[in-house]
Amino acid sequence: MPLERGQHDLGGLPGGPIDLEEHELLPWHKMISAVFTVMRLKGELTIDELRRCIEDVPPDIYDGGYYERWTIALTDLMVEKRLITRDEVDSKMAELRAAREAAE
Amino acid sequence: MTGAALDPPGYAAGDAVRVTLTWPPGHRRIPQYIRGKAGVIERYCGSFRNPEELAYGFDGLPERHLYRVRFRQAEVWDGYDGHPEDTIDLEIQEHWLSPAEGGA
Amino acid sequence: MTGDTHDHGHDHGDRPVLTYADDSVHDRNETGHFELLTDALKELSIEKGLVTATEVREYVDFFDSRGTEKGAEIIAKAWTDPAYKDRLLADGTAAAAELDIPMAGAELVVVENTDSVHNVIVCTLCSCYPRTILGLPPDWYKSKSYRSRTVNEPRAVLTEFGTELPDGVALRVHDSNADMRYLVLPKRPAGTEDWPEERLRELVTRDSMIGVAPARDPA
Repeated sequence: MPLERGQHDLGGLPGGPIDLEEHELLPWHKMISAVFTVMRLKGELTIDELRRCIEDVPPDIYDGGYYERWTIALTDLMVEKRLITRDEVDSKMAELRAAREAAE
Repeated sequence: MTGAALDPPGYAAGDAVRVTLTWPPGHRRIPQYIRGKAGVIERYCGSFRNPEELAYGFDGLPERHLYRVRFRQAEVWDGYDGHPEDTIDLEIQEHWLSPAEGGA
Repeated sequence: MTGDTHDHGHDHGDRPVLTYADDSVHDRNETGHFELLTDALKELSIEKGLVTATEVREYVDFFDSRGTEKGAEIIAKAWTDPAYKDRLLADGTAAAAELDIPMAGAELVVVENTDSVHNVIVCTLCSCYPRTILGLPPDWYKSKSYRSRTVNEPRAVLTEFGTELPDGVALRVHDSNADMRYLVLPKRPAGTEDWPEERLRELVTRDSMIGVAPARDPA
């Protein structure tokens, strides 16, 4: 019987001590949560679709942080659903990056 | 909780059930550690759109009956050394359950 | 400097399937990469009419302001109003709605700590959490260690939070794996019998409503 489990399916795996340090949420953590929540409540996508995309991100992204994997997964999902294209994401990031560098 | 007409729930509180031991690909909300384990229905939670379908952009209908199932920890984990009455509850969809021996 | 990594000539706009995550043209290690990506998604969503700037701002404000107060309100009311407590344990969603607390699509199950039973909540598959009641979850709740170990060695996990259960107390773990969200009704601390509801709220901590700790000791 294969016991393969997804990278998200953690129950019962060995783990180290829990890091109890509290961290402030960063503005972009709240922003990505808000963008997703509004789209979910408007019926553009579902939490189940986002979870599936989170489960499918590469392991380094999965391990790279909660909001990091959320953001990548939401990008994947929006592209998959033809809400945006990859090129639009690239162009917009380039535009925002240029604006940020100009401001520095 | 709307949607297609549904058969009445197949289980009631106190019924002994077993989670299907199977490993289909796809988005599943049944953690690996609980597959194949036997427990008792703690309560019927209602019917909900099926996340296994919602995750791929389908409507998740017909809805599926959902139960909270209570498992004895000693039943779930080899060598569990806590209190003999320790339990773990999960929500399991009816199509992942079959009748088991025992019950209340 | 990573802007030039986007000067690639090939066209991938029509590629049917994605894995943006695999795309090597993106340097995820650039400073502020995820902020940029978040801003890009927000701007594009607004340009496409998927969301409005006002809607997004409302939810950012919501996440900014929503702490654990609503949870404390529920718990303190249950401690002082037995009829409310009965309704809360029977139908958490409806009892939260009585206090104008929405569940945003999920259902609320409230589990009660007693002299013989202690409850603790985890989500092993993702990080399901009653956000409309407790705000966004703490980092430890989302950590791999908490998600993996709370189901099979819950007593060791509680010890790390400084919580030792007395002998004879059974521990109930709840893996929040589907459509329910869970809130623990902690035991009302001794010595608070004549306290009003408003004062009791101050004893209700986030951790006590997740079940990793008792309510605050008034002493």
